[in-house]
Amino acid sequence: MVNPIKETPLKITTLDTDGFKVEELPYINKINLRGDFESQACNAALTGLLGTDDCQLETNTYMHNNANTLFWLGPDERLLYTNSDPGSVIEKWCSMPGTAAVDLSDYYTVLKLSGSKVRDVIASGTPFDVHPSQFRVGQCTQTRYGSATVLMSNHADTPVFQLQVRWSYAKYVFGYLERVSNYV
Amino acid sequence: MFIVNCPYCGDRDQTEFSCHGEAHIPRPTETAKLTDDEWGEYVFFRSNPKGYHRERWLHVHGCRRWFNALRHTVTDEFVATYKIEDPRPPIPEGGQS
Amino acid sequence: MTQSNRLDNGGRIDRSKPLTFTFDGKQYTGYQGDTLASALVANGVRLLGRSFKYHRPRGLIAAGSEEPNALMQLETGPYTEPNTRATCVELYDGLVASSQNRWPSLNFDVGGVNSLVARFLPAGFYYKTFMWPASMWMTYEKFIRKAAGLGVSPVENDPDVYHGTYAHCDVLVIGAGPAGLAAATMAAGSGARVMLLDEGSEPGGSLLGTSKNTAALEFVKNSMQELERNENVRVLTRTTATGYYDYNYITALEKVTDHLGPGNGGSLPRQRFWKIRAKQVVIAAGSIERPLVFADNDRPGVMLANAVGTYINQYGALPGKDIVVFTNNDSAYQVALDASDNGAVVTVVDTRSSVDPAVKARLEQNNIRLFEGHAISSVQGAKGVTAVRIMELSADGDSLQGQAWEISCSIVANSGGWTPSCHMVSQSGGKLKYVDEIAGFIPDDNRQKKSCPNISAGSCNGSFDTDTCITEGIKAGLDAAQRCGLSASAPSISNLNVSEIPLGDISPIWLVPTTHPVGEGSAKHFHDFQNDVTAADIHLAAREGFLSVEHLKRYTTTGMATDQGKTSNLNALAIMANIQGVSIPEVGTTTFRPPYTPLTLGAVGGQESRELFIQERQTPMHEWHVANGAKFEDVGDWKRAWYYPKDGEDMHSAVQRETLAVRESVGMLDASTLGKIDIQGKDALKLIEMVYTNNWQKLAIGSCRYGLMLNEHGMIFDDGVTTRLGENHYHMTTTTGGAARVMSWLEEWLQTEWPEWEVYCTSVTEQWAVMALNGPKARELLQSITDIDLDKEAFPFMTMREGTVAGVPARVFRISFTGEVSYEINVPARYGKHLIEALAEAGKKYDLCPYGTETMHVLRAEKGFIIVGQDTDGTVTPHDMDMDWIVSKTKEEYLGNRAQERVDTKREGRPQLVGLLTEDPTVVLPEGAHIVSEVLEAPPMPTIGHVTSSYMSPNAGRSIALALLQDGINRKGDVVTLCLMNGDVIKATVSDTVFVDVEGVRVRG
Repeated sequence: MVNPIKETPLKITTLDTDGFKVEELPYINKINLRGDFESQACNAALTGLLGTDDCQLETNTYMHNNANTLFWLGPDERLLYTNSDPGSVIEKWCSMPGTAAVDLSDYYTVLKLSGSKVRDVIASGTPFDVHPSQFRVGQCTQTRYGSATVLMSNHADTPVFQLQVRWSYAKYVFGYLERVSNYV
Repeated sequence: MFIVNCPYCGDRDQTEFSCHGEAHIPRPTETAKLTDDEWGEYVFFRSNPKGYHRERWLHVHGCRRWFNALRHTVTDEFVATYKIEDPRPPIPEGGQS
Repeated sequence: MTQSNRLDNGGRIDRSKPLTFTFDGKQYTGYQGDTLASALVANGVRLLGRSFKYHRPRGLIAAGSEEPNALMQLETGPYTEPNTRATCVELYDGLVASSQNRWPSLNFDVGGVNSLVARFLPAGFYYKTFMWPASMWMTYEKFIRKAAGLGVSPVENDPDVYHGTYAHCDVLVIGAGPAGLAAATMAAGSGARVMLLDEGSEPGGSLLGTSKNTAALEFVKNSMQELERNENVRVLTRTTATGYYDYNYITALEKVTDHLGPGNGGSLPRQRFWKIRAKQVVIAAGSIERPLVFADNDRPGVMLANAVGTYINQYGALPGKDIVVFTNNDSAYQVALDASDNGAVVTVVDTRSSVDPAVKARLEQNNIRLFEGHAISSVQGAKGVTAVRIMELSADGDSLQGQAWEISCSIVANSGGWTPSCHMVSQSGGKLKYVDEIAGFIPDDNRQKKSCPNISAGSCNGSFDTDTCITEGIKAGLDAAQRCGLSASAPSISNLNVSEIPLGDISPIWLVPTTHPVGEGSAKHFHDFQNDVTAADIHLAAREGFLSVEHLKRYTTTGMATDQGKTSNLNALAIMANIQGVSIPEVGTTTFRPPYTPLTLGAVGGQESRELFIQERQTPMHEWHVANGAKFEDVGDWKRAWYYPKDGEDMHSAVQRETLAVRESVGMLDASTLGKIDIQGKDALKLIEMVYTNNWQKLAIGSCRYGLMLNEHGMIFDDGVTTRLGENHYHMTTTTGGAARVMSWLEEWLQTEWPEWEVYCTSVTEQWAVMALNGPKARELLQSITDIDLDKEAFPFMTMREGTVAGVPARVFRISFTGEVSYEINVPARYGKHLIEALAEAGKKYDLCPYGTETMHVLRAEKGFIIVGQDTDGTVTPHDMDMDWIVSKTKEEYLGNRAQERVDTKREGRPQLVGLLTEDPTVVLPEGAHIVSEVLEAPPMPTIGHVTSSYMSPNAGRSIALALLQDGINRKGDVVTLCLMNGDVIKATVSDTVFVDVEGVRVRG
């Protein structure tokens, strides 16, 4: 049996227009982590994964190290993008009491948005304020874009945003971005 | 269209939330011992005040946390939002609930 | 090219850019910078439409968005738009406009006969006439629709695109007149994020229409330069704030490309709908001049004084060469001077008995005649003013006296004072207060809603002098910035002196008397032009007891329709106050409601139209379904494969073929849409025990169980299969449509009622792509591509195994929704397409048939499996579904338990799920058909139940149906009667709900 490729919902579609670019990122391992993130144990487990000293995250921020990204989702919930094998990460994480971990690698896909129009395109679909003074590099938030729930994060001032969407909504969100990019 | 202060994420647009009615309605224990009237009180009856109302909200498009809010049903002013485990903030002076 | 009323110089039009347009089929010319209204004024066109009720000839009254009369049908075909105000339509080359509400022509209108029968069309006419008998409504409606109504809606799809967007700012300034520009400049200087909106095509507001405008225009230019330099400022022209909602949420309509003409906007949207959240709002919306209410004040040529001034100064068009200015205040005097300076013969009629000598002297310089203490007693000329008669006004203002003088004129420029535009304040929940000095309502700053902080500045605050407007604007801008925690210092702005005539007192006169009492004689005193409401109507409403302002509005229709009473409301209130002998504030005001001006629905929808109207969700196998000819069904937001017609097949034949194939060989269904929830934690079992009705204690790891969820009313609200994956680890499935609801339900209980429980729920719906293989050959087919041992002993019914399928990791659940041997193969979504392709390839040997949701429905109905939401409707208990077997008798607590013991849920005779077999096996009952206890000649008939599911079952060889029937379980074997919508009466026998494989052996095979 041939091992099939890791397909993403948009098959790495790209939209490149004047002032606005959308790229679907290649498949990323994503793990939902639950637990008490103020505890020593959780922090130690995360620092081991990310290779950083401290993995305490402020509300609605993310951190990035060693090709891993850790997002704040809720007081007891984080999302990890990682190159590590999800199975072993989950096993290790769940060995701590009072925790849970779920592989959501396929649940979401990630769109990278760049270009001068990014903020206007985003503002067309979300009531969340993305002005540079309000949504800075290093911040992330869950909100809605059109009618889809998204995890949005700011990665560069140029600007570069990431929009994580559920698989089933990927075409809808992509279509929304594409249409709106003509109007702003 | 309100601004709702999620106790975890801060001020957000109302469309990120859903409201689920009156808060602080604990589920009775030993339900088999309740009369129909007592059970009906729990399931069907809510205070529906004209004035300050404690209600349950969900940050559904955000951190997916449930929390409580103290809102005035006429002016739609939010006096406070508070975590489920937090003590209830007082009703402003002169207000009724 | 005859722009007979065009002035040689002046105005903000570009005389080097002529534009051609047509009105009612006749061609005219205007200039770049004109509105349709100003171009018509320039061409001397006075008659522009017929009124709503009486079909009286009407012309322009205003120059701004308050215009009630000049409503145009703009453009044709798909681009046509009714009820556009000529004053708000910027002229473009090739514009096509036509008048409304006339037939066959504007000049000769048959409906004008309504004027003659006007006494039969009083206030409340519709209520009185069409209330009874109800059966006559169908007759009346045709008459009303034809006679009334304004423009015509387009019948073709809208070819335009629209855009909606959110925006945020510290300070939003509504209106870019003197006050708004000053406020925006100040706020911007403090470093605040500022948005400035104005409905005009350029900023400046009233400053654009003044004659002494050098300093004024300089002020506009300097302010704009400062604003445009600031990257924190967004200035939007052609943008009207339409609604003001809680927490300073303001909506605004931007006309992005309307002014270019249809189809000329390129890729830009026609309009943009702004949804703005502002920390502070400065309202600088200006004010609207009120007409005086005098006899036949609706004749074409009777205009507001400031409109005449605006047409002269902003558009270089003199509305007429003989102008009578009729006023009760000083603001119209500048208009008299401007008209006179531009060559008009002007007469001023002032209701006040003495006018300032300095003003008189100024009028004399221009040879303007002045009549003090006089009023217009009648207007001559039906289709356009030819003359007015004036008489002396009695000292109390209630009657006319002396001899009537006739003055020839083509234009009456009248002013009854100014009404501050308090719409936005009122919408924000603020209250208004009446101020005698201006005879109008202004915002009451002390009675504002906390959640809507705003400051009014300028003439919307009752300050009509331009320099005061600017001073107030500066203060408002600073205050707003300060409330945002920012500060700036106020500049010194020199006096603009835009008016030569100082604004003195106003002497309100709300209803100008004639020689007859109001309502007698043929003259009409209109206060509401758009709705054709007269002072006499208000008197009638008062006589009939409709005294409350809200009743008055609805009874007379005053203040309704597209202009929402911008020019009429205060006059109506004042007339009512006079009738009742009370003060105006005692009568009160109606609440202003959004939108301020009409909105296109397209703009409100924005980009969320067509394929973005509803978020469409697709499974990883979607493209395969498309490639294989599937028809799709909407389930929740999902597109699910419905059936796969082969060449020439209709839906029925395709479904019959698929249904047979599943029971004869093997079929496959995309089941990816089912909700899936991962549940972990040491208290996971406690949660599952609470949310399902049955027992879960003994479920072994690797085993599956069906569960039913109830709400606390004891009613079924979802169902699904849950599998134990590990010691404290479960995989729950829900219905497709119920996925989000169930997730929210679990979380609500966990977070609010049992926060001490250690349970984590995570939606994994899209993590897994799921194919369900069903049928006698399912095992053989699957075994050919999996390393899992499918032997029936090794992998029994209601268990789960992990392994690989088609070379990819998979969880395979042996559960069944068809009653056949069935495997639900779950693979990570990234392999979904691979899985379906691999199954299709391997299935060739086994006559594998892809099937859709319709076949799934037939197959499950053959087995009597319910679909929550189809066979249940939120009023159905497990007992009603004949599913007592799934309700634990031993569990002490689970959600919905106690409700089942209620008197009503336990009572005999509740509707219960049964099967129905029609007498004629070829007849398929319509779903929703009612079972009646008695057949009457016509509905309503006493109903005892209804059909919930109904299909032609090829495996049962006949039609089958499920129904909710009162006391149904005890009626099995009875023959019942169904009465259909078309009158057909059908007999059916009440049966069990299982129609195929009653013993249930196939599923375990």
